[in-house]
Formats: sequence, C-alpha cells, structure tokens
Amino acid sequence: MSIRPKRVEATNLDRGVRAPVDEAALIVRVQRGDIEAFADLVRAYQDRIHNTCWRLCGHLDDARDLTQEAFLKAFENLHAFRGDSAFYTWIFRIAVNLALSHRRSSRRRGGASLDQLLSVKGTQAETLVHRMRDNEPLEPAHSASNAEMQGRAAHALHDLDEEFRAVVVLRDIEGFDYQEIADILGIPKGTVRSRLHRGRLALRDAIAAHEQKHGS
Amino acid sequence: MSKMDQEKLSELLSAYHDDELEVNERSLVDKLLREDASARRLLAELRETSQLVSSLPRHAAPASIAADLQSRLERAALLGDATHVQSKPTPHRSRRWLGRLSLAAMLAFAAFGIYWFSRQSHSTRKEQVATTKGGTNVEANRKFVNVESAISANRHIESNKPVQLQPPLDLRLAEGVPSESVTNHTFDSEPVVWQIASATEKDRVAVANALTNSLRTQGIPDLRSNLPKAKEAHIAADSAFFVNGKAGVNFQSPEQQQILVHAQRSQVDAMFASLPKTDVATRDVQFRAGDMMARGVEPSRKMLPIVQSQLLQNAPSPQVATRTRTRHIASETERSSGSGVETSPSSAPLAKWQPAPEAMDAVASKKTESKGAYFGGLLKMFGLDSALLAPLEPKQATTDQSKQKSDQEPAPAAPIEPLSLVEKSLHRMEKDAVPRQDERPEVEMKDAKQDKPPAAAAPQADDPTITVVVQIGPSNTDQTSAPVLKSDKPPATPVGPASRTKSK
Repeated sequence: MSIRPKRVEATNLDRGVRAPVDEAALIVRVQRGDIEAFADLVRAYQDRIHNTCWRLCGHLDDARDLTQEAFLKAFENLHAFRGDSAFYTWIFRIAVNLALSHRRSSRRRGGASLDQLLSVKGTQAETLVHRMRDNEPLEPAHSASNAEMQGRAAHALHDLDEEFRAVVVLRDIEGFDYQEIADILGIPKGTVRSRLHRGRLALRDAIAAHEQKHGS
Repeated sequence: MSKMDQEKLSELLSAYHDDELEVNERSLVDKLLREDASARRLLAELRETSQLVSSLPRHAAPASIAADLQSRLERAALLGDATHVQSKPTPHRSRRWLGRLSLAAMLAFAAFGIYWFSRQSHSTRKEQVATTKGGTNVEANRKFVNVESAISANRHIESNKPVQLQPPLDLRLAEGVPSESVTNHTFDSEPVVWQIASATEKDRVAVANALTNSLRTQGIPDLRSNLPKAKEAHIAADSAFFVNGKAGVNFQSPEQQQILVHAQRSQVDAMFASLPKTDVATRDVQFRAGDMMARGVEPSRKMLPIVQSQLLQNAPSPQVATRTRTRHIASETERSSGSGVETSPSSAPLAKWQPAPEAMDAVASKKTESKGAYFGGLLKMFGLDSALLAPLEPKQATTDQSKQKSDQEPAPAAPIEPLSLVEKSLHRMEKDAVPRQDERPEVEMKDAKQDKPPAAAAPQADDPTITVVVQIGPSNTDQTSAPVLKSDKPPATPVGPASRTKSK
C-alpha cells in the first residue's frame, strides 16, 4: 500500500500538482507575442522547474540560471510547439536536458558542489510547514533523525548515476507517472520502470552504506 | 528463484509501489507478497527509500524569475528581436569568464596604447616636416579631399557614432518668421544650420529649389502655410521656412549667394541627393567645413559625414589651428580694405556672416585689449585654454601684405569668429586624430594665399554652429570674378544671424 504525505493544500511547489492554468489559452497568446501570458506560464511552473534543476545539478545558483535558460529556450521555440505533448512535459524536457548537460559539463570542470543539498535557508522551514499541515508529530528526536536521513538520501541521490537520478527525481520528487517520465526523457516506458527500480535499489544500498560508515 | 527472476520481481515490486502495474501483474505481485516474506521486506525497503527521497526539502524559484524574464523579453521585443534573448548569468557563472575577459581587456588596452603612441610619433614627424618646408605648416591643414576615396571611408564612419556636432536649437534661425508663428511650433530635435553658398544666381536658385522640394518630399510642412497673409508677404516668395519637420530653408540671405539650411544631417543628405535633378554640375559642387574642402558629391552624396570625418582625421595641432584662425582674421581685414587677396567665391559671402550682437558687444568692450586677450576671452567662453593663443603673433598669422592693410585699417570686429563646435572638437581630438599618411585619401595641397580660409562663422558666441559650405561652380574663381547676384525680388528677411549683419 502506497503511503504518501497528506497535503491539505496543494501549491505548484508540491510534487505532482499541475498548476491551475489554462495552458492552451496561454500558449496561444504567447504564440501571438503576448509576453505577459508567457510570464503566467513561467509563474505556473517556475518552482517545479527550479526544484528539478536543483536536484539534478546540485547547486542553487546554477538551478536559477538553468530555470531561466529553460524558459527562454521555451519562449524561443514556442512558435513550433504544436501541442502534441503537454506543455509541462515539453518544458520539463527542456529543463532536464539542460540540467543534465550542465551536470556533465560541470563534472568535467571539477565536479558539482554538494553543499546546499539540505542546508538551504528556508527549505527546512518549508518542510516544517508541510509537516505541520500534515499533522505529523514534531518530536525533536524524530525530527533530528529524519533530517539526518534526508541528508543521507540527498547525498545518495546526488551521487546516483545520471540516468537513474533523472527518473528518481521526476518520479519521487516531482510525482510524474511513468508515461510522463518517458515523454520527458524520451525513453520507453519499460526503461523508466527498469531505471527507477535500479535507481531505488542503488539509493537503498548507498543510504545503508552511509549508515554503516557513520555508525548510526 | 533465479537472479533474473529476482531482478524481475524487484522491478515489479517497485512498479507495484508506484501503482504502475497492469492488472495481471498486480495480481501476481499480490499473490507473491502474501506468500513471500522476503518480497514483503524488499517492497518495504523500496517504499521507504522512495518516501525518503520524496520527503526531501524543496526549494522554490526566486520570486523575481518571472518578472526578470518578462522584462528582458519586453526589452528584447522593443529592440526588435524578442526571440533571441540571451540568458543572463548570475555572478557565480560569470566568474568563470572573468579571467578571460580581463585578459582580453588587457590585450585590447595594450594594442590601443601601441596604436596611439605610433600615431603620436607620426604626427610629430609630419608637423616637423611641414614647418621646415614652409616656415609654417599651413599646408598641413589645407587640403582638398578626393571624395571618391573618402566615400569608402565614409561607410565606416557612418557606422560609428558621430562626434556631437549639433548645437542646441537656436530660434534665432526663425527670426525671419513672425514670432507668433514660430512659437506655435516646437523643435523636438536639434537641427543644425548648414550654410551653403553658390557662385551664380542660377545655381543658387537651382540648388535652393532642389533643397526646398526635397523638404517637401520629406513631408515637412512649410511654415508659411500657417502664416497670416499679411505676414506671409514678410517672407520672400523664394524663401521658405519649414518648422514642423524640424528643417528649414531660407535661400534669400543678405549676401544673395547663401542658402541657410536648418536641418539635421539626414535631412541635408536627402536634400543634396536631389541635386542631380537640377542643372547644377555636381562635379563642381564643393563642401567646405573649416579648412577642409571636399570636391564632388558623387555618388553617395553623404558629404557631411565625409567632411566631418576628414576634419577629424586631419585635425591640426592646437598651434596650427590657432594660426589658421588668425589668418582668417587677416584675410577678412584684407578683404574689407579692398586688397587683392585671392579668395574662393564661396568664402566671400560666408565671410560677411557676422557674429551675434552679443558677441559684437563683447568685442566692443574689449577694443582696447589686445587680440590675444580677445581671443583668450572667446576661448574661455568655449572652455578652451587661452594658452592656445601663445603662438598667436601677427607675423605668424598674416602675410606681409595683409599686415600692411591691417595697419592702415583696423580689423573690423564683425568677421572675428568664435570657434565653432567643429573646431572645438578638433582641439579636443587633435591629439589622437592625426591622420596616417597611408590612410588618408588622395588630397590636394593648396596654398594659403591662393585660397582664402573659409570664414565659417558661428553666428553667436555662446551657440556655436557648424557651417558647411557647398560651393557650386568652379573652385578657383576669384572673388572679383564672381558674378554679383542681382535679384529682382526684394530680399527676404534673413533668417538667422545674417539678419544681424543686415541690421548692423
């Protein structure tokens, strides 16, 4: 049985929540040159795109740049968007490709930073707010243990192979289903299932190895 | 259970957790989970891992992203290309390029320094040669520019931002028009007075008509259409003053040979482009600005930037410019005393364009002072160093003949001109604008005695204007042989500073 955190109120920051915007109308307006309509599209997806880029590249500054670059690229090519796929799939594909490409190039330059994976000002507070909304207990010992586990998971995710990390982020963080992930990454649905499974096993093993290494 | 089966089972469990199994697969996994504890344990581990990852904190995008993108796209749209907007890197990313940019800047600076010093040394050598040859380096300043050669250079010049040559709009230009008609119009641009002279009445009328028609074809309305009939008679029939289009022509100047064009550079160029429609032999049309003359207007007719560029490229040193200025005054003295100093036909009417009454008053108040003090005052008015006048000695500035004449008859104050903005620009740029011989187009050296320096007078001391002379007709015609224009029509009310000349 699947256990997922309860959400009292959904925002476009939450995983798997589509922004309540009339995409088709906005896209038509943008294709006619309405920049304000494009700004509405940006506002609808910027948080999820930014968070995805952050989890894929591992650096907040780069995530901001990649988010802007993804939307600019989308604006440049929106005239060719025919609606064969959903807009959010299209924009996520752009962002993921940019992030993965950036990650590869930054590794060649000397590796990405591991900082800011958890210790980002505000994100802990956001998590706390979410937990309060979900009526989860806030015992100090539990919170500390949970934060520690999250830190291990974040590092394990950061070290995960690129092909596995993308599907794990898109599924477990952004909440896309397999078909959407397949559309975003341009791979078969069966490959998504396989990569996701192997990625989760790799994460499980990495977290367990980290626990053994640090004696917890 | 084989390893492949275990792998397959594990994948099914992962998909089972995500609720992504087909019905038959789900039934199979349900049965397996009921019977196999290890399968239940593996599913729990996969579920825990998935939930741990999904519980990772999220980070919202900076609130300014949408606004930044919108403003950048709107800016790009205003610039005409909203589909090619470069992403703006944050300082973090731009630091990667900082080193390369710094290196490039250093190299560029070093290259510029080498270039500047080479030009400086070349200028020094050239001035030394000119001084040695003639005792004065007048020749270095007086050249005819081969326009055909300069046109190619003009293409480059056109792409650069021109030196600021346009003074603030001076409504003195509209003096010939009833003030109530002028005040109803606003000049939101900064036109310049272009002074054009012609040797013959036929050519003058032809050019003036061409210029006027060109203004009309540019859609510039004629102010006369707004004038009361009684006032309209105040303006000569063959003169016009176009206001709404920020351009004007009054070709009935007091000297009968001048055309005062109040227009911007592009408008003047457009007007000159219509000259071939006239009978004027365009090969004889000459533009003059300062000491530079450009002969011929074909084929581009972008004469104004050509002359300007040549002015800047051939900028004399401060001493040279000052001596040339003094020689202008001497020539004026000679002309007023009836001496036989040879002058070009175009310079004669221009020389009588006198400064504004304010400048005249300033001259009168300083009559007892030396010329150097007077010019020093003028230079100060333009923010120039009066030390430039150090070499300003009469023996340097005048010929013996002109000196004799000037001794007999004091030089009138009228022709004394404040430095124009062009010449101010020359003073400022002369150090780095000395031409290289290999870059200079074909030039014709002209002796100072044979060609009177142009009296391109700024009409008012505090508002220097650029004076460009278009001379139509043979270039070497003496003033004495130039036809005296007789107009049957009453002279038009002069526009601009020329009116002050008349009132005097």
